[in-house]
Amino acid sequence: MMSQSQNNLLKVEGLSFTYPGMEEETLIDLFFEVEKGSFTLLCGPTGSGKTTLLRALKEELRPTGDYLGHILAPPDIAFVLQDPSNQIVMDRVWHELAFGLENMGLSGKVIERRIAEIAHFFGIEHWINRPISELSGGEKQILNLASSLILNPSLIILDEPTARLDPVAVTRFLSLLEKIHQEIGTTILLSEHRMADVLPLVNQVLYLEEGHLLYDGEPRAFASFLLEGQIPFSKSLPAATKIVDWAEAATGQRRSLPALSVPEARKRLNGLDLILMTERPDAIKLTESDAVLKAKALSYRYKSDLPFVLEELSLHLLEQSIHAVLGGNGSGKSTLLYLMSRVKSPTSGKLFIEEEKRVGLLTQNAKALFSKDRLKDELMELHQLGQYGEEEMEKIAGALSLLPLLSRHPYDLSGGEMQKAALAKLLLLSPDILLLDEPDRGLDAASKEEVITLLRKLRSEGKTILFVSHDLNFTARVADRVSLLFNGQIVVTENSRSFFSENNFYTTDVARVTRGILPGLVVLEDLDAKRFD
Amino acid sequence: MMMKKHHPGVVLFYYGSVLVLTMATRHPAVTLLSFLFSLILRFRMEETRKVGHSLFYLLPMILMITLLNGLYSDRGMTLLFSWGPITLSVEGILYGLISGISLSAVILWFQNYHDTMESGRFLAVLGKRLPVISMMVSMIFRAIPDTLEQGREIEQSRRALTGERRGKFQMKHGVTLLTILMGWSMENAIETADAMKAKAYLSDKRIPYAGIRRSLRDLLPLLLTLGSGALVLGGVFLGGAGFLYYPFMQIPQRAERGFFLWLAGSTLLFLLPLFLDALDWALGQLRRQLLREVSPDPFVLQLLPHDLKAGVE
Repeated sequence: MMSQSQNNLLKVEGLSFTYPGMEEETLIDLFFEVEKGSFTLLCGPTGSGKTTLLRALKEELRPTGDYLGHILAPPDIAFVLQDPSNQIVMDRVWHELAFGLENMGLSGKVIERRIAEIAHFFGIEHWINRPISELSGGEKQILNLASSLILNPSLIILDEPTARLDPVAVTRFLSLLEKIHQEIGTTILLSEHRMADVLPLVNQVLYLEEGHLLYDGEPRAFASFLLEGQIPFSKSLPAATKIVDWAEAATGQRRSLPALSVPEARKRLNGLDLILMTERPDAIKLTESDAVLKAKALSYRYKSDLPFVLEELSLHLLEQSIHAVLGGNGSGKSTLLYLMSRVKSPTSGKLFIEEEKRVGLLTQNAKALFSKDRLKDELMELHQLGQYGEEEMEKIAGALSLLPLLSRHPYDLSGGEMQKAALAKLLLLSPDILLLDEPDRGLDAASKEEVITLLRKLRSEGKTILFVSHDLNFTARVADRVSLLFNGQIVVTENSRSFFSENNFYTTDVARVTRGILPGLVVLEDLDAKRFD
Repeated sequence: MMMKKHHPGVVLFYYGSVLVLTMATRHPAVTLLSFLFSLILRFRMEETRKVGHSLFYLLPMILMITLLNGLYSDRGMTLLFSWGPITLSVEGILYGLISGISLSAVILWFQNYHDTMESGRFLAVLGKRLPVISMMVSMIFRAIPDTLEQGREIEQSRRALTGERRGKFQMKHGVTLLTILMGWSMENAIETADAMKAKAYLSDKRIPYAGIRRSLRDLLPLLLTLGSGALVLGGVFLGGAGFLYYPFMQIPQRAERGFFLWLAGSTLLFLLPLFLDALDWALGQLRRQLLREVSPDPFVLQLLPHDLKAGVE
């Protein structure tokens, strides 16, 4: 199928695709090419057809439906999917690495040599004998990448590979991807919504919106395409890009192409000679309200012979506030939520919850909650317990833009939509204290906006919210107070703004870009309040 | 160590031999030796606390078998006690004791085997012959912990959502939990199937790779197992394994010839893993000793494996 004469590895000509039983086309008349050795990003809003397009490129995974046009793709495409565990077939790391090679009918000697090579390249020699069940999500995804690369493919396609990973794992994963591209020259086609991390790495961007390919070109020009066209997806651009764009517009010194990385943005901001006229806006004044939930000296360990996950942890949750708990991987953030919702009992310590306040916790994995065949039935499932009717259900579904999806099967929703559906289930039970375990995980920029708006609205309605997160930008935008969980204890609890402006490393992208240049900036919204001479 | 690094076929052969011998004999000396060495090995492989835990179950079991056999067996002649139909003889009690110890030894050897082989290594022996089955079992080994974990997660997520306390088990909740688990598992299975297709599982060219190698190191345990096995068989052939419990306990005349072979073979067999470990340790010491005498350049030392470096630095 592949034409060897050109430098193109992948060529799509006039591709249109319709799912069976659907009237509208999911992909509409796409033309594009991917060169050998290219690192290409495929992006676009949720539901724009990215996954469908990527799967259509690989024959074995091609969705059934009506196709028009031509796909010229190499036969040896490796594919990495979103969910880290489901893609793994075998029960040990070395055997998973061997799996694809076994299928190619290679001999034991060759397999051993390839495993050794790849383990060395990825730096995973030390866990080659471990069972899969002991790996973390990030390690599993690295294994998936390794077991794809080991097949020596001419193209690796990755469909939102980092959506389920925490930031540390994301950084490690993406740096490995860059290493593959730089050192081996494998062609990579990646769909991803973490633009800040990915845009500086790639050399081609394909932008898909509602099945149309609206942009195909170089990443810097893509940023200016989004900014100049004022396309809503520009919200996904890196903070560095947006700040420089704003500052250059404000001072009337706009340069032709946007900045993509933090150092570049800092250099350009420094060159602008900005003088701030207004002081930074004050943070929302927190009335010293009473604590609705008090944790006193909570300790927890899973087994009596294991170390404590949480040790003598104390935390007050003030009424009608949004409180965020930040912390690294395995710092016990989720455990803390389980203790506060009384799903788990502390090994020692006490928990006081104001009387008649109901607590609801939304756990990380939305799929653990879905038992019905339609989203509508799913949302109505607990109507007796929560004493709500269809009207309330539609109101909340509307606030999260779930209305058009009500007749879909919950499993047919995208990762972000599932997350929102689970949140809707919790909201329908109208608890007074909401505990949320990473409400932002896997959401694209637009969905994050919706969740932020909703959380603020809930606070104004008198709810108290505690969430844990890895995402500092999200946290800075929505939280009133922030606690940092470290070594089993809360090391600091502060007003959100002072927390982020006083931290040097553990802070938002905006604060990193503007540190020492525009002091006090933490989130992009702060920009609107600023005026320049 | 403890044969964990040896070829699974050798391990299987060794433990097979030990188990057959332990199960087949009621010779008090051999049974006691078997129990003794299985226990020592157990302590070497597992934390003391956990071994104590299994002894906590094994000792009452031995006691019970002893008592039951004592009460039910009426073939012993040295009566301790008799009351109507119930008789208690020294022979009956001792036979029960040895049976109980023998059963405990079998259990301990099985635990040792299990720790030596770990989940997948047994399949590696089968892999070439039964590729589909061995792969299925490998997938099941992964599916079981995953499914249990998912079940737990579903249960906790629902309680977290609704704020209900953990109460009595309700059928309704059980059904919901199962529905969710089924849906979720099937969804996961579809993705796994996709991943398998993406890696050309359907290409018909598949040749399983066992990930194990025969090495010269395996020769020693293999030969030792064969050798001690031959001694045991020789002993049995000469009649050395004979022992009578009833009507009086005695070693019969005919057993005198092969007795030494029988005992020596059994002891060697039971000792094997401990011996291999001791050998490893001794060789390691020797190498470290030599290394110290040579005292290599620090740069060369850097390149050596950890276990060698440890003794020199």
